[in-house]
Amino acid sequence: MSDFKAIGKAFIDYYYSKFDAGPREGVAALYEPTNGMMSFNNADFAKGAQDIAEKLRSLTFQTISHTVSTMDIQPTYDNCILIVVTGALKADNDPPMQFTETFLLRFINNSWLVINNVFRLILHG
Amino acid sequence: MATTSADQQRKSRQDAEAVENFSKRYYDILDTRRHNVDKFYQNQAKLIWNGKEINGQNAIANYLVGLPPTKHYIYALDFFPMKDLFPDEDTTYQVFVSGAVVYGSVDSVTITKEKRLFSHAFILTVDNITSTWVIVNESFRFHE
Repeated sequence: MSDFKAIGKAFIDYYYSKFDAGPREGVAALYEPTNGMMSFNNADFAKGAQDIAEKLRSLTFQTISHTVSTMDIQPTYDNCILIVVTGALKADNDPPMQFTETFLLRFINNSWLVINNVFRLILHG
Repeated sequence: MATTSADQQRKSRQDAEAVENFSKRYYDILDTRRHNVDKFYQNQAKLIWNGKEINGQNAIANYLVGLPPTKHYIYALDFFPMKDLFPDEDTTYQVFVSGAVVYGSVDSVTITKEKRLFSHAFILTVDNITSTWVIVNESFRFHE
């Protein structure tokens, strides 16, 4: 899978631009419909595209903007792609916050879909 | 292979302990006995260390051994089983650590010992040849 980096980068660029342009629940379509999982700061999670869309809709910010600083892209089990992103996000008028987000992508029915996503805010210890 | 719910729960608990123990031992090894770090990696492991791609157990071990002495501080450790995502991978976990690291030996008093925040994400599994827990994929990044 020599082009996994290109796939990963294209996916991440698309994911955040779609998320930021809104409506953010639109990114649920990029998840494996039944089993795709999203979790936040290990406290909360959603499974399946519908649950994920609802979860995203329920978040309290209006506008958001992600700025990606780094992307680490590797092939992993079963021809899947592991992507670890770090960056900053700005929601509404809040100060920017650093985050790290990990995506596991699988090629299903002719597209790369997220089977697992883990989002964490970086809170400086 | 039919397993009862009690068996599954016991396995989950055992795995959770194993994953936590592995993670703590890993940072301890980096700080105190880094020449043994190769044992923590699968033969075909992949590491991206602050953007630098390193492939294979030996290359990774050589690279890590070449870094200055460290002291790691763990602020948070979380992990998720991956067997729902990879049904053949009964003992595979995604692990997430956030913490800080100080570089420089204890003797070098002139070097300012600043703590550098890091995020560390890795996929951990039981190697089917050695039956030990090993890292398969890994990403390590400073936050500055």
